[in-house]
Amino acid sequence: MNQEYVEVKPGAMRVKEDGTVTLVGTKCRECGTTSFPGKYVCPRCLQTGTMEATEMGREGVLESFCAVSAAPRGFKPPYVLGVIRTDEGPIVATQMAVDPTRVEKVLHMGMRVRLTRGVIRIDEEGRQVYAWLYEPAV
Amino acid sequence: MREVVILGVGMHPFGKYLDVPLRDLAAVAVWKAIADAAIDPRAIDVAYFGNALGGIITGQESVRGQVALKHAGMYGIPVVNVDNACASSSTALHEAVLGVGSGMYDVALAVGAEKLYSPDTGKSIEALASATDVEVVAAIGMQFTAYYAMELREFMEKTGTIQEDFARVVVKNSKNGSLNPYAQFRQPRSLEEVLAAREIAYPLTLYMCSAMGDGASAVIVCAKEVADKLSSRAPINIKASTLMSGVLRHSEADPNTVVACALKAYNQAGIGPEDLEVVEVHDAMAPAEIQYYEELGLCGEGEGKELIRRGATDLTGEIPVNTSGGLASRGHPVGATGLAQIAEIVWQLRGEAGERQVRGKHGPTPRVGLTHNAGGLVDGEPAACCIHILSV
Repeated sequence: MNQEYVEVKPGAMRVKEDGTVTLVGTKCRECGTTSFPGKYVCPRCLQTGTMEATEMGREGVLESFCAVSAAPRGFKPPYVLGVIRTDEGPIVATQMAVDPTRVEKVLHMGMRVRLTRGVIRIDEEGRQVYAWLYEPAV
Repeated sequence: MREVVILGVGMHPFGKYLDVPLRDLAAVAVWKAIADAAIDPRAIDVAYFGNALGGIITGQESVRGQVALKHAGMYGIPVVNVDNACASSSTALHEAVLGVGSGMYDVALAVGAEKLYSPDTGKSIEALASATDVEVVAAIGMQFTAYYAMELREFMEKTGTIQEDFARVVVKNSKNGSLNPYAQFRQPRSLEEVLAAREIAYPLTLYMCSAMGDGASAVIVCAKEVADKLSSRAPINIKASTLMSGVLRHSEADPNTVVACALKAYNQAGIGPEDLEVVEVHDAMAPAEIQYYEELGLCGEGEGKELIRRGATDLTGEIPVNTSGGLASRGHPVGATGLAQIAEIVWQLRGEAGERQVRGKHGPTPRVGLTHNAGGLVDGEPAACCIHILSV
């Protein structure tokens, strides 16, 4: 494994100077609708020129979760997947930063979760792939 | 729009055919449909070829339809390649209905063909996961079984449906599948067997999940006004053909994609869910069938579990669902599934479904049936939802 790393979706995640992580989506200046991943136009207003990048997704609610034992190529099961309803509205598919063997003990639907980041796999060139992760909010 | 009818259907049995190329699977289904329609094959004006994952799995990324259909003897006619993930072949039918209904063509062939088995299962899972926004869903290691598992967990919490209800769907569908000569899995399963099987992702156990599969299906449609001249076959009417991509939901109160697409189909057909006599739903994981009872309006919200508990959707029930065995038993070679559903409803309406034939509400055979086929996942909704309503 080499020391290089890549982001799973460049530009979709930002680490601030104080170390906090946020997702980057889009927000409509007119109606406030937030989207992740970011959209070219606001899906509610359907007009151009109202979108701006917005930091989002730092906290949300765990809608559902699942530990997986079979995975697409390049991923090493077991790991835990989750669907997060972010406080800004958009749904985010994510891996959960929890031990797969303890998933039923530490996760429950409707719990508050917070954003973090970490390595989800090593790519074909040996680089670490960083992605957003969620963990229970303490 | 002209009225469009189905003249013939055909399938290659679903199963594991590592050594049979996609084109051979497709050719068998196409020529069975031609024979079933009892038409001159030269009458076919256009073909729509549904396939989702052949590009990744075989490397034939482009012109899959032309390659397969030349093998089946089709030269010169327009061939349109259709990919809408697991809804590819129902989308092909939707396009065929449009092509004929518009008056541009008189006779159209719709095909669905897929080979998922590959020596490398990880490659097949990767191909399936590509039916999402790969940058934000496949890229983080999401796969469809897990996605279904998460949806079903939410559904259980919301409706009080329990894992045993899900297992009952498998008991029903595996029995139906055991009576279907085209089904990949023909072993009936008991409630105990289903619940005791290996857990894939709670609440899903092994027998609740559709597996890898290979197969093909084909349908021939024509304008109703020319049907008599082309064939002596009694035509089946296409009363509705609706296709939607995922809807934008501002809140949980907004109808989801399946609900919206079904409403559109009922309006197009001028009927309601109470008029249906046989239904095929897209249960890639068998338990999702209960969710679809509710979304298609076969019962009220939260009442799906009651339908399965009292046997209402059995072969002898008031509204039989997935008489073919559904995706978990018939098999789910994704691009071929949509037209396999159509074939099943056509056979039921004609009274040709053999041991799994159901009765109609008003006579020995049903008169109205519905198919629900869905594919992919984008922004938390199906990428494609395609509903057809057929009648005698």
